[in-house]
Amino acid sequence: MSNQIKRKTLQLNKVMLLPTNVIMFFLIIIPTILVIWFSLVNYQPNLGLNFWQSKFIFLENYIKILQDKAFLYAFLRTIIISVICIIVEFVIGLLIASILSGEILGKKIIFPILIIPLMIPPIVVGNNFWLIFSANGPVNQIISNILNREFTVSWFSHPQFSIIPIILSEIWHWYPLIFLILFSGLANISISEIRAAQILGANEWQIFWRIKFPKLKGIIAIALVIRMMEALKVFDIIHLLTRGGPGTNTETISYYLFKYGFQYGRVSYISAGAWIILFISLISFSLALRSILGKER
Amino acid sequence: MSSKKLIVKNTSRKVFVHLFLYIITASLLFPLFWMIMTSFKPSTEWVSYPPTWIPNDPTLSNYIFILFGTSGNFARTYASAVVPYLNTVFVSVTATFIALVVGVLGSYSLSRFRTRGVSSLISIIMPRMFPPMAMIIPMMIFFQVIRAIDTYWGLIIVYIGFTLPYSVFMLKGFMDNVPKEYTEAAMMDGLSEWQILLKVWIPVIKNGLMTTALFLLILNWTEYTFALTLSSREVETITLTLAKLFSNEAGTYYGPQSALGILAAIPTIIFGIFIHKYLAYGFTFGTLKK
Repeated sequence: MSNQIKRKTLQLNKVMLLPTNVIMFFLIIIPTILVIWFSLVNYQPNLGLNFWQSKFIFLENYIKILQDKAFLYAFLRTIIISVICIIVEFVIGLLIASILSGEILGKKIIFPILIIPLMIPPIVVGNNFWLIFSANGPVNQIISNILNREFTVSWFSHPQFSIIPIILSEIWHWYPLIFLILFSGLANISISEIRAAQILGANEWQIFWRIKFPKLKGIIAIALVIRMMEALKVFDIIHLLTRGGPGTNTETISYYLFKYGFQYGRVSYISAGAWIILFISLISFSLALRSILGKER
Repeated sequence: MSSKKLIVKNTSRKVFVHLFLYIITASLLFPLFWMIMTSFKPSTEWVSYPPTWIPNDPTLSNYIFILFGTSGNFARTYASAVVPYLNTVFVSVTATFIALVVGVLGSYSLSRFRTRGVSSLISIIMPRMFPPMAMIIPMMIFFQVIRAIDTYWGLIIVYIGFTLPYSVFMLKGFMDNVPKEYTEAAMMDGLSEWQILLKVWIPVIKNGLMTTALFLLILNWTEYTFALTLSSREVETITLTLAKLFSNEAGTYYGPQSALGILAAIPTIIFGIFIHKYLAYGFTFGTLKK
């Protein structure tokens, strides 16, 4: 009898997982397989051939895209933007998190206020920065006041400066996540250990590096990986603000893929590019994790 | 050091830390402050220099323009943003509801029976590392076959697929904390698996369920890329409306843009404040301890 019940629950178990598996199969597994196929043939919808009729060219797409300077530059640019964003976000996030984990007046109000940017749609974040960086906007006004002379740069069409509002908007949108993650990490550190160190005469700096940091390692690794994954996908803000321009000066990897895939119709080409990016990010993530976590894993 | 000196030092330090935090908070709110102010500015103040920080002549005409697509003060008329707004509500609420129901079933099975499906953590996180632009094209082809491009249900399906991993893993995290004794007691009483799920587990994880729902709703509400590529003509969502207004006017309709931005952001800000303690938990796929 117990066997019968077991078989029944096993069946039920499968039934309950079925919808998840079906959705995952159609929306993730099948597209992934198709992208593998695309990357190995020469499929361009504009040529009028369907993807199963396209010519099999094996690794030619991969070789071509690796020789494409625009792809490499977009990739490098993405890495640079992400690294700058992540460093600044960590500084801001850690600063606020350590202040807020002490006794602070109005903590309950400030805490939710600080994470508002994370909840704002990226498109609206883009709009915010478009306004404050507009030629007659407050940023130019403040800089003019500081420099004491007229400063009217049109930030979004400037060849070098156009990247700045984009980086700042990314930082503004995502610092709350780092802050939240670090805050919950700090909350788990026992207060008695810190008290003990204080009695022994350790200063704040020593307490942070000797006691808090080693315990935050794991959580910092998680924050890094999650944030890097999002940084590789930054698209909405760029699509709204600069469309990758002027020229290709703010073209990140996802904008590059969008441009070549949707505007030029070079599906196979960007499929190969996508696999290269996934491959590089998997390797670098696992290396980064290993070096941060040390021998623990 | 005498104790009096120490107290003075501590107080001044405290004041400094508070001041520092308040200043940081205020400056981090600046972009939001600016958008709110701009949404109440009449068109003459949009590009005037020096910019007015607080509108001299506050007006609601930007909001009227967004709601009705026209307002006495504007030269051009547009379609009202009410339809895209309702589209967004309909699509994101439906997708969230279905992803939640499917997620409850899937996570219950994963948590209670510790089974393995297609849905192991890696297989769900990996597609998220994959550049979404490349994934959308096969989806478009698939959608052309089933005639789902530019339809409500097409967009809903995509949103379900895109939020389901979060749904399953957030809920699994909450469900793993349900005390074993509850389940055992329920089994002793002869409850079936469905009854255990509905009458024991769901009441226990009520808050977790609520958190997951709001989190998914935020993700769906703010989504742009899928909406842009899969349904930009017929099913316009609010993020698309803003981008369209932006590109039609070369981003110079500051007032209406801001009004629309605020209307688009208010629901997600409210949801987010409700669940702010769990936001990080959601974004990290529940790998983080609550």
